[in-house]
Parts: sequence; structure tokens; C-alpha cells
Amino acid sequence: MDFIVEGFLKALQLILSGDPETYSAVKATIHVSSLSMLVSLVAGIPAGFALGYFAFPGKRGLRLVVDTLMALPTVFIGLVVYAVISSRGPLGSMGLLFTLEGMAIGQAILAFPVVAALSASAVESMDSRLRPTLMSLGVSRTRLFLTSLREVRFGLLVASLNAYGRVTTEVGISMMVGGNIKWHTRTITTAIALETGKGMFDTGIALGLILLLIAFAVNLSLSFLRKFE
Amino acid sequence: MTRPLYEIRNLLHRYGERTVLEEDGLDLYPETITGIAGPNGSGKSTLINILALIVKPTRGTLAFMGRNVSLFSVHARGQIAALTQDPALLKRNVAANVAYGPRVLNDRENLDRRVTEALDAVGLDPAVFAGRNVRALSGGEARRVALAARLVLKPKLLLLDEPTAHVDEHSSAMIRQAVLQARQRWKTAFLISSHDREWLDSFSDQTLTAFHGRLFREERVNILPGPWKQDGDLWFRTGESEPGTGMPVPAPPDPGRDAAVLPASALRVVASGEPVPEPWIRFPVVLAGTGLSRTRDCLLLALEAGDTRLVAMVGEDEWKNIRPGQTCVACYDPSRLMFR
Repeated sequence: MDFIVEGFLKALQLILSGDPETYSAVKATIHVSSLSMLVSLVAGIPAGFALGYFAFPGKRGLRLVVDTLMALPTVFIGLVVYAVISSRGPLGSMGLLFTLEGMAIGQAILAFPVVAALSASAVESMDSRLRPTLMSLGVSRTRLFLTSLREVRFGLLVASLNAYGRVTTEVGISMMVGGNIKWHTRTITTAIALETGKGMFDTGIALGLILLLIAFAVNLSLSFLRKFE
Repeated sequence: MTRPLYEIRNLLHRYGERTVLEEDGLDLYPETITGIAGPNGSGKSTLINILALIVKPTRGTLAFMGRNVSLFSVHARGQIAALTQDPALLKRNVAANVAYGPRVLNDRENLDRRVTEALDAVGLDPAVFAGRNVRALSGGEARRVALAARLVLKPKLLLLDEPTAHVDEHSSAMIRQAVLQARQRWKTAFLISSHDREWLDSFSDQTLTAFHGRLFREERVNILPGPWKQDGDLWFRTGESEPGTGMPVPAPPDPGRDAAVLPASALRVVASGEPVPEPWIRFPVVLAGTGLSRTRDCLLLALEAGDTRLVAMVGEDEWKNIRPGQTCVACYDPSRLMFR
């Protein structure tokens, strides 16, 4: 039991002393997750909106596919992205393997179905009277889209937080595509896996706490925004 | 002659195979109030949604201020507004809801003052209601906020779909007052649907009757829903408590479904024993009451034929020999009867 308590104490020490190796992993995590979230939100929210808003042939089938993709295993995404961006793959010449950008591609693939499926659910739960009401006020198509988005903003927020949770906590993609290179592509989760393997529980616990703190900060800032709506 | 504000031609709308609206030509003029009365499912809401450019008709042309318009037409933006039957309020306070339309149309000049004016116009005190959350409004208040959100646009045409449904008498009176005020102050024309004909008649310039997707121009129309049962050469409604009473009609194309539609002006009333032109159809009625026509120099007679209540619009010479409570004879030219 002692090693767990020691782990917590060491964690506080590492955080407070500004340990460079720990903070390098934190930086890599924030970099990759920000990049992947940006891509998945820009692509996923309009896609989810279209999926939830419009009626078209094959909608139910497509919805089923997107819902299923929410359960994509991270190691499988890691494997596919690795194959595509490795030197033998079609995008090998871009030199993305073992880079933060390469990891972000994998994480964006992980987050996209989460954002799209949950945004679609939010849009489906939108008040059906909203469209005729807005049209009765003479809005343009763009304004109809933007106001509808605004009305379902809490649902979109939930979609984003879910995707963010998956992205920051995954190990498979970061490990396979990033290679867990110290000072470079080592993220908090890959560092925890490595440290635990080495028996360094204190460092692992410290990194775990930091990950929790990041998640807390993100949730806090979003709930703060929500208060002002 | 004043040019029509809105010209509707060859309009047809179908849901699947079912035709819900058919109107060959309808003109709405500036600064007029047109009412549409009719039962549920008669096509009133469909017409309003089409004219409000919310629903694309299956067929037909719509010209607003001389230019063809369709969904999202820039030309009609801010000029045509509509209060749908069950309007949604946005998740904002009352003032922000009222200001939403002008804001998205980039028409922000004196917006605060206009919001105050619009709330005043629907009888809601801006000092009390402007900052109120929409969830704290009663049904009637919410309806009036939605109306204020349209009035603030000062549109050329405002379409109101059942604005008095589920609201109390006070709210109905406020809505009528707001409509009259908007016409006077902002020269807004109105098309208002309601199943409350008396309410419409109390302030509209003309009231059309909608039934089974058709609009009837006559001031009063008798609509007799089927089914029908044959008795000799003629057919009677099966709903009558005493078979063979009510208004007889010639053979309906679909006796199970068709309703008979007869304009009040097509119905004549004569004293028993007086001759009736051939091949008119005659039947006994009791004169139940009288009223004056709003638009013509004639009298409205409320008639009872069995359980059926009818309205006849008659000239002065036709009612000289008849009195309320008296049994007399109603008759009509079968060529003026329509089945829908």
C-alpha cells in the first residue's frame, strides 16, 4: 500500500517542481489533442448536423455505421494509420510517422465518429418547430444553420467533451503511430504505460493526476461558458 | 386600381398522393386583412406555410410585389413574416426573442425602441417582460411575444395561423388590437386563419372559407360533411337523427366521403306553398334567426333542416312573408352545389 501513497507524494513533487520530462509529455498531449480536436470538430459538427437534420435515402444505415465507428479500437486505428503513413504506405513520403501530426491524424479519426454521432443526436432532439419558426422570420440558409447550431449548443458541447475524453486518454494510437519517443512524441498516457512497465508507479500516478487536472480544467472552462449562455 | 401585394396562381400541394390544397388564383392587397375560416384539416395551415415560404408547393407560382418568390428568397426577406400555429421561442429572454428577426436581417436601427414598441403593441409591459425568461411565460403571453417578434419587422405581409388557438379572451382581444394597430401604423397586410369565424369577421375585410383544400370566396358557405344515404332520387346525410330530414342533395360522386358545399347566396327561402323553379331542390326548414350581411345589402337567415344548420343570404323581397320560428321551404339550384 505504501508505494501508492508514495506515488501520490512523488506526484505532487513532480508537478510542483516542474519536472521537464513530465512537462514534455504534458505539452505533447495538449499539442496532439488540440490538433485532433480541431480537425474532428470542424469536420464532425457539420457532418453530424447534416446526419441529424436532413432526411435522405440510407440515413438509418449511415447512422448505424457512424454509431458503430464510435467503438473503433484505438490499436486498430493505430495500425491502419501506421500502415498508411509508414515509408511503405501511400502517404509515406510525407514523413508523418513518429510525429505529433501523425498521431493527431489517428486521434482525429478516433474523435470524428464521436463528434458526428453525438452532434447528430443533439440535432435530432432539436425542437421540430425551430426550422419553420426561423423561416417565418425570413432568415437565410446560413443563419438557419447557425441559429439551429446555437439552439443545440449544449448537445454539441457534450459531443466535444466526449470526444476530448477519448482523445486524451487513448494509448494505442499514440504508442503505435508516435512511437513513445522521449522529449518528442511521448504523451501522458504512453508515459504512464512505460513508467508502470518499469515499476515507476510514482511517476505514473503523477502523470495520471496531471491528465485528470487537464480534463478538469477543460470541463471547468466549458461549464463556465455555459453559465454565460 | 391597387396592384396586388401577393399573387398566387395555379397552386397545388400534395402530401404523397393526397391533394391538400388547390387554389387557382388568389390575390392579397396591401393594407387589407383577409381571414380564412374553416375546420381542422381544411388546408389553412398549408396555405399559410406556403405563402410564408416555409413549405415549397408541389406546383404553382407565387409573386410578391411583382417578383416571383420561393423558399429563402432574398426579395421577400423581412417583408413576409408568419406566426405559425405553434411557434417556438428561442432559448433567450423575451427582448432577445423579439429582437432576433431584425438582428439577423441586419436592421438594428433603434432596435431597443422598436422592441419596446412591439411589446407594447401586443399588450405586454416591456418593463416587466423584456428581461423575462421565455420559460416563465404563460401560453397566451408566449403567443404574444411571438407576435411581437413578427410585428417588430414591420413586414408588408404578416400571416397568422390560428393566433387565438388555446389563448384566453383577453389575449384574443389583444391580438386583434395589435393587428389593427399594425395595419394602421405600418401599413401591414394580414392573412389570418382561425376556426373562430366570428372573431375573424369582427375585424377582417373579407373572410374566405377553406374546406378540403379549396378556398371559397362567398361570405358564407354551407358545408355538409357526408356520408350520404339514398332516399328516392335524392341523398341525405346519415348523421340525421330522423332519416330523410336535412338538406337533400343529388347523387354524390363518393357517398362515403364527399361533403356538399353550397354558398349561402345559392339558398333561397320561400313560404310554404309558394312555387319553386325547376329543377331546383326543395326541402322544409325552420327559420331559427336572422343577421345582417357584412358585405352586401342583404340578410343572413339561420335555418334548421332536421339536425343540420344552414345559412341563407337573401334579398329584402325574400323574407317579407317569413318570421323566426316559422316552418318554410328552402330551395337551391343543384348546379351551384359542389362536392369536395
